[in-house]
Amino acid sequence: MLRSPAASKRWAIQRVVESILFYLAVGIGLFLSIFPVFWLILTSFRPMVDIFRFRPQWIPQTLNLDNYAAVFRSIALGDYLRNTLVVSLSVTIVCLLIGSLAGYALARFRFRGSNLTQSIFLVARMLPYITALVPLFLIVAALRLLDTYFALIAIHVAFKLPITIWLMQAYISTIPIELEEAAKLDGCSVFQVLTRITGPLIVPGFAGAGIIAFLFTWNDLLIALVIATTRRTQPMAVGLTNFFLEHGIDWGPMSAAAVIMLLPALAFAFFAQRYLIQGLTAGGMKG
Amino acid sequence: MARQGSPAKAARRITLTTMLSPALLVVAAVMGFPLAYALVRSFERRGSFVGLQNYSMLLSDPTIQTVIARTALFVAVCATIELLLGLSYALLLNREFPGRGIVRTLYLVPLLVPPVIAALNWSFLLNPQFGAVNQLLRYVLPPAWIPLWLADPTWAMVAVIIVTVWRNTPFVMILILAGLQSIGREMYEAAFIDGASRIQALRYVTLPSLRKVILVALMLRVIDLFRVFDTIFVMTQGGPGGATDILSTRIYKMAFWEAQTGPAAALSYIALIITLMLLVPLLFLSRGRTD
Repeated sequence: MLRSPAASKRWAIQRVVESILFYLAVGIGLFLSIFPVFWLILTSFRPMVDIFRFRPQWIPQTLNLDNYAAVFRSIALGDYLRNTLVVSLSVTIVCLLIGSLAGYALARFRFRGSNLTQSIFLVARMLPYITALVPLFLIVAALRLLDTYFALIAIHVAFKLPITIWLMQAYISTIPIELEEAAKLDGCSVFQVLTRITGPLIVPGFAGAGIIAFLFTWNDLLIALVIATTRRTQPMAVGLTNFFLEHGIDWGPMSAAAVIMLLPALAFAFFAQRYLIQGLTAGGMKG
Repeated sequence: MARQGSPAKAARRITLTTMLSPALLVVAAVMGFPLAYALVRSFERRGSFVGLQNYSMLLSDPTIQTVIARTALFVAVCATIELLLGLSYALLLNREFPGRGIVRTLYLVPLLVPPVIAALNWSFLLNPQFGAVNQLLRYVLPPAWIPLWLADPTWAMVAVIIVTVWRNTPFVMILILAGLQSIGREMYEAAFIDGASRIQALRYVTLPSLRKVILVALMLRVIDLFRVFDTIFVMTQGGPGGATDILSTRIYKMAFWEAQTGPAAALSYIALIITLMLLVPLLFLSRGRTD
């Protein structure tokens, strides 16, 4: 297109202004997203005197590991971490086992009651957790299963299963059924088809669903607050919350403990970001 | 599927049962049965049957009415801001620029922070005296305008909304980004050839194509916002003076602090019914048109 010199100069200025505004907006979003986390990590390395300043010290003068030492002294961090890991890993494995079977059945078979089954899982997915937790507490207490891994894992599995099934069903639907039919013609049984053909193909689906089940369980507070009554089974989330509600003012050690709970989740999610995003979007798209 | 003989049919039935029954059993035992049990309990008070009394008592209680209204407000405000902000983030990050990959990853960080940690951290950030937020605000606002955040009933609500929005906006963003990627370039080319401005392209090409994604995001967010618990429990426990109490925290306190299981069960059924009422129209909207 031909432009007069004046017009093309105006156009150039407009482009510069536009890209400045664009980068400014991106920068603001970036600041809002990461500053709180950055500040938390920084606080965890600061001595008490620097944390509690009315006039803030934006650029830290002293950083040390005192808060981390203090937190290991005052919180049973080892217990909490072990409990969180045991429960999160068990829930992930059980959810993937049960959920992928059900997801496969729903993705591949049309049968009487398949709509009903899907509706059951859909409602289960939407349920406000607290609605099931009040009676679950009474039942678990009556069965004398309060404060056991078994009760925690069973409840977590039931709450995460609907989303796992949903994700696996969505992922399996994207794999052409012809592959399986060909294998069947070659004489494979249904379970051989599953383990030899479909299994390897749905590994990314497993990864996405597994990460979501793991992170949701790792992050949970409510279920653990109701079921895990002592340090024997309490996860990090409960340990931190209790510590915070009792000694809210101990920011340094609190931040250190928070960073310890945050980092594995953060590292894990970064490492598997592709699968996480895929899981989250698949869960959304198939709505 | 092709017609098969009856042995094949039987085999198919066995396969289906084996695959589906573990999941159905778990859901029935850990969700179905407790829900049925809660329904029974919701008609009881201190062990004796009282019919619908718990429900009528709750629904006529002004505190509970306020809690229900506040929950609706919380869900509506958070969902709206999350959608608008998530849409803006997605539109920003859908443009090509150097370093976009890493910037997108960093925008996801809040979503990776466990809600408990987000709540703890924001309680520090929003501390009236030593928190970073007020320390920044003091540079730009006169002292009388600096909020007390969690100590002030109104600002406490604002605070829990900020934290919820902060943590969940990236989720909306990635859904909308995925939606944006599915819009063909030729749609824009056609629009620009027809002389559309960029705003018009946004209004007539982008937004209509995102309709379904936005509805799905809205639906998922409403489901999730309705059961927000961690953030409020850690930051305010519903306080100060009940100013941030929503259904989930109220039910928790009724059941586990005040040991009123009957009324708590009734209130959780009210919560369940509200969730379903909200979701039916949304499900309908997101299903419609595309089929």
